[in-house]
Amino acid sequence: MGMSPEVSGKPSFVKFDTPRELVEAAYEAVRQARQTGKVKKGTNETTKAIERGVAKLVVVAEDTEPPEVVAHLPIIADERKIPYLFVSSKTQLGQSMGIDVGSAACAIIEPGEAQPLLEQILASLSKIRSA
Amino acid sequence: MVNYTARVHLHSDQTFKSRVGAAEPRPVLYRHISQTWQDELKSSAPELKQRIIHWRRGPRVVRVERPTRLDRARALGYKAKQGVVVVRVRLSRGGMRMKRPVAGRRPKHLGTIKIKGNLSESQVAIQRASRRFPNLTVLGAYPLSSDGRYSWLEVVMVDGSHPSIRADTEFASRLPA
Repeated sequence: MGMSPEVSGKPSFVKFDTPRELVEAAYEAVRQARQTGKVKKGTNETTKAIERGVAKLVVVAEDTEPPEVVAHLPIIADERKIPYLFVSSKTQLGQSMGIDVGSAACAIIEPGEAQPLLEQILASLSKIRSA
Repeated sequence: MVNYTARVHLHSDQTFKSRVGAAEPRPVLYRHISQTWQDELKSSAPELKQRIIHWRRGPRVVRVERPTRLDRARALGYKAKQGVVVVRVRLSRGGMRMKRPVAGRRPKHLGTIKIKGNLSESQVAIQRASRRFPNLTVLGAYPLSSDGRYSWLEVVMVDGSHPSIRADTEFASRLPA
């Protein structure tokens, strides 16, 4: 019964296009960090992790309905100079965190074994953002 | 694009009065959601316009999956659980439409215009939502947006006979005995 508006294109909180391979890398990094490091799940915890400055990477789902729930995350992440990226599916983001429901956002606090993958992601992100 | 305002000022310790009574610190997330909504209203965001086009073609009273303004809905008692229902109501704007009297009067005393029902929009929205869903108890309503012809509100309702609601003690005082 989802009455989502038929908006063409992506919602305006999506500030840049995240390449497909980077999206897949983000899912994988979240999965590894959740098993061996520390991940904050959900919009509320992610917001707090950004404001406390402890987030290493913020992942936001583009298909969040309504988009107002996550629209502030890129803004406050930019203010705190915390890197972020957008993934296509909140269901898949929830799955990579090992939870049964979708998740509109998450923040990697301690990458654990995902450290090398995280560094790769951050490097290609800074390339995209500076281009 | 939406002209989102900077959020630095939001870190101060604001409190809000919850509907239940005691003042409690308002979660940071809801301050941001509220701010986002205000920004979208102010800059008449394309998202909002697209939504209104969609709503205009929809039914007058319709159940929606999730509240459009999560901060307002939660303040009224909304929870993402079974038995809690959000309804969007479309109202025609303007005063009452009165019949022109049969006998002659001077224009001032025709009594066809400038006569209003003494009800707020949210009261009317609540009436119409509970007429559609008579088994649900109303927790409250909040405005969404309006165009020249209609205004839209969302009403938060709860099914008092649903097991998950009966098990939730926070709803107990707000349901009819």
